[in-house]
Amino acid sequence: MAEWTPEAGRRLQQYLERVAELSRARGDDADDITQQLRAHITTETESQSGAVVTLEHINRALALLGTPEQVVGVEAVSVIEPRAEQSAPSVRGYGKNTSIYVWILGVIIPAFSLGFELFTGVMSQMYKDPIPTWGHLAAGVALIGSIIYVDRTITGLRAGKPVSRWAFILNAYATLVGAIYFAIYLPILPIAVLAVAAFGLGIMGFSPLFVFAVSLGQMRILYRNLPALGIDTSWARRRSLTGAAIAAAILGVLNGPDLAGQTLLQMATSDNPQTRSRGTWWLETMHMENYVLDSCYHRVVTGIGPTRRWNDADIANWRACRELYFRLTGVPYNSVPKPKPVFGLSGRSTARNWQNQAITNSEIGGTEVAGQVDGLSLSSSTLDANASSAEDGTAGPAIAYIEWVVEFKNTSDVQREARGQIALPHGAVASRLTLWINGEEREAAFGTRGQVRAAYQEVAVVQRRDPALLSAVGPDTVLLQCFPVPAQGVMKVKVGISAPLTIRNGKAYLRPPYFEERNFGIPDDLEHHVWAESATATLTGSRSLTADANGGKHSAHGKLTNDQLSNLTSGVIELPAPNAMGITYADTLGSESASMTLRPYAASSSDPVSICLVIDGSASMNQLENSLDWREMVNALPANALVNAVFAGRDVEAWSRDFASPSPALAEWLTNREYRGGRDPVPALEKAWDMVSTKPHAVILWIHGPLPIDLSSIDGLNQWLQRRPASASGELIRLLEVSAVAGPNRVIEKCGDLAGIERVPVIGSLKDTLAYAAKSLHGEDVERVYTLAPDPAASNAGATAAAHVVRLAINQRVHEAVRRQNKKEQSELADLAVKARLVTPVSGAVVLEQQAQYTRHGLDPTRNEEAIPGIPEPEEWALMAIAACALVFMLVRRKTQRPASAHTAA
Amino acid sequence: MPAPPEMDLSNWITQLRKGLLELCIVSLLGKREMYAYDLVKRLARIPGLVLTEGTVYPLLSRLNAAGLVETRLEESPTGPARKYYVLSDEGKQAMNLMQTYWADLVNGVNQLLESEEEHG
Repeated sequence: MAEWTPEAGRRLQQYLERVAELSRARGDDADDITQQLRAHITTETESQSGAVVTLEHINRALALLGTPEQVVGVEAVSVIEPRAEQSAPSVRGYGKNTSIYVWILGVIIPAFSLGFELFTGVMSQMYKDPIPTWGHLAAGVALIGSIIYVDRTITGLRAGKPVSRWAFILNAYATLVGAIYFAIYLPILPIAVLAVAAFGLGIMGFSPLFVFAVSLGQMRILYRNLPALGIDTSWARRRSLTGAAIAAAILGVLNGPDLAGQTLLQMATSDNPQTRSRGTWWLETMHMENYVLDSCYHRVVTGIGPTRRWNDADIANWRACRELYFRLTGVPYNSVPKPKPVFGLSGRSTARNWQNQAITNSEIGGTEVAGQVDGLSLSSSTLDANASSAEDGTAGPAIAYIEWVVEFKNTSDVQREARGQIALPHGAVASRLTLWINGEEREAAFGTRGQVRAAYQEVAVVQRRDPALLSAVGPDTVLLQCFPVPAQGVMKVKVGISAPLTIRNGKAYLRPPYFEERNFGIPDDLEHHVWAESATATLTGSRSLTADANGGKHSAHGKLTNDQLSNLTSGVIELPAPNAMGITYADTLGSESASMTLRPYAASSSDPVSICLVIDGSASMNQLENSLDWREMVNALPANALVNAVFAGRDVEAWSRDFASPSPALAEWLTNREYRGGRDPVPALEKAWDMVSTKPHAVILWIHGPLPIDLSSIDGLNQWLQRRPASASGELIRLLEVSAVAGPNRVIEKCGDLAGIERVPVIGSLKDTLAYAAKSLHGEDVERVYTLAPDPAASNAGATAAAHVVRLAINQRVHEAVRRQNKKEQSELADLAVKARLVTPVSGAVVLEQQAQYTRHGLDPTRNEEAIPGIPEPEEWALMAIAACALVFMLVRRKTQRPASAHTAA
Repeated sequence: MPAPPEMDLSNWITQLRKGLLELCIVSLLGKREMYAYDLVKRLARIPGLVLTEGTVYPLLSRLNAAGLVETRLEESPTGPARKYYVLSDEGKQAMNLMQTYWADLVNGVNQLLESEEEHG
């Protein structure tokens, strides 16, 4: 059913009315005649005109029918044949050669520009991306198609071809889209003019202008011909409005999410707390996490509509997005795969890579792991550990030395910096860094923290040569940086770690290091090759590891996936804990001597302990649904304890106004909390500190997931820690923290060295760990007392691998100095840490390529080479066994000579 | 001043066509049932017979009113409903009379015209 223009309808009505009038005058059946005439005209016009019946069509049909007088027979017909064309109004199409210009400017140049942009992404690099999605590309193609359709219509006017409504609709679509593109790209038009004038290039920049101008010109021609075409102006306008509405709808659909996302992002990162909260709520409600994630990488995604391009200098914006992503999901933005480009062919992908490269460059040499980079991955990983042992088959001093060799692979076409934050075993210190340069192992030079970072930044960022840097970022955490991992190449480094084993319930545990935050990918099929050995102590490991003995040494070995290695409850290696406590182990490293005594914690007072639980309300805690049992943990709390709890949710909530005995109601309250988004623990910790500080024998047990972002200042918490370190009973308020989910924690990194904070490593299951912590209110069975001085009374009890006592003792002294904020002591200890080749809060390790680079920064990689630790080679085991026998012999002899001599406690 | 000769001629032609048109309509409908538009287009193909297609419809209406044709309506899938025409019994009688009269007339007129040409 064709659509009739109003004028066409009116013309027919007038005609039929006249026929009816004359028919009735002649005594004919007027209704029958007019009905038949109407059917005739309808059949005639609709078969010829297509979708729209215009006045022109009606006039032609009526000319064939004859005037009403002729039809009815009251007027003689002329012998001259009626010619409908004579009465049809004349039309005006294009001027001379205009169609050629329309095709060049409105079709060929825009189509070329679109294709060029599609393959190269030049415009997206220079200014804004006109086709960020396939939808935008389709809209652009439709625009060019519209111009062609209207061109064909106008060309057909002279041949008497009818004009359909689509001509007006498509023309309006092209005009509106062209106008918007023109407005958006207007700022670069002067540049395009200059480029064309100077180099003859840049014609692409004119495309929006051309498209707009051509569409506007076509619209003018269509409307100028309305009277000639017998088309009512209002009818044509309605069709144009339809076309404009379609254009607006398409642009809205394509750019609406971007517009909404940008608006909400601005709200959610606003300085105004209320606006920020509203924006965050909307983003959360509309599930726009991926949009925020995309913004974390300040990827350029621009379309016909608004731009979402962070200024590279405006770091605050993308930093705010990273914080926002955590607030929305409770997950670090760099722990999830980097979003793929929404749309792009090979050239555009390359262009995007360059954009990302510019962003990535700004992060090279920084102190943050930052976002994942394309093409960089861990290609191999080998973990060797040598655990201490004693002649009684136990772990002796319970110390292990671990060497972790990792290789990074870069499949991209640009150099990359690999950055990874390594979670060390609790209480460990990094004691070696080796980089392979041209296949040769190069040991690191150790220097003060500022010294090594300055050297790394100069060599990495400025000279772009081969350095590696290892620096401490918090307790039990170091940051490994390697640059450059060459394009299409690999880079291999080794990190040595001296680690105390965690002694719990009569067992000693080695928790291997893992990457808790990284800017590189780890393929699902990558396996960490783990091999732990001990001279006499029997090792057992998780199900993936095989325990056996060979050649007089015990080992646990196998392959662990990255999930197994980084899962806090798996990948742990177990040894028999030393039977006897109070033994002092001593060792020397160069001119330094130290001793360590393992001592059980003093029995706790019989007075009731005040325990305040601080629970992280982040979504990451939901992962623990099956491994966390609040009831079991509450039941494990000391029976005489007085308990309260603070929940770090959207708001800080306290379980009770005052402390009370542990009860199922507390477990139920914790279970019923809403664990959602990423929550800030600092206000909850401050509140907990406030609550326990007036109580006797106070302990805070903080159970949390990752906290990759500083959500608020820790100054307030620091103030509590420093101003009120003791409880009402005068004892130090202890803050036991349990990382229930692997990941970085910025609060621990900043506050971890402060008095009273004690980490509780997760060993075995989380349930067991929490029950252990709740019951013992400690992280392990023993405390280690280090003394940085020769101890002639030390026995060593036939232990091997006690050589790391000095390293651990220095490390502990450094942490104590940091805790005391004693700058002079820290400076003195920095020299000691450098001498012992340790990575501590005051010292670090750096590998540079050339001696001149070391010299310029006052570093010497050969200094104290004798202090470089290592995993004993197989033949060394025989020597060690002999040494152990000798020690046993000496010990037995000494005991015989000095029966009264007791093991010395520090 | 005498009227232009073509004006007189046109009136003659009009009158002649009107009579012939009725003959053609009944003759076509005498052969088969047809709907109006189809009938008009068929007649329009006869050179010089139908100059204005609209004139057929009043004639059909008059034939219907005189009971010479019968009609029926049928829905069309492509346009308005079609009105089909067919000769009634009276119409068939009228058609026979008209055709006989036309044959005699044409024969007589032809003879006249041929004898005039021979004499001329």
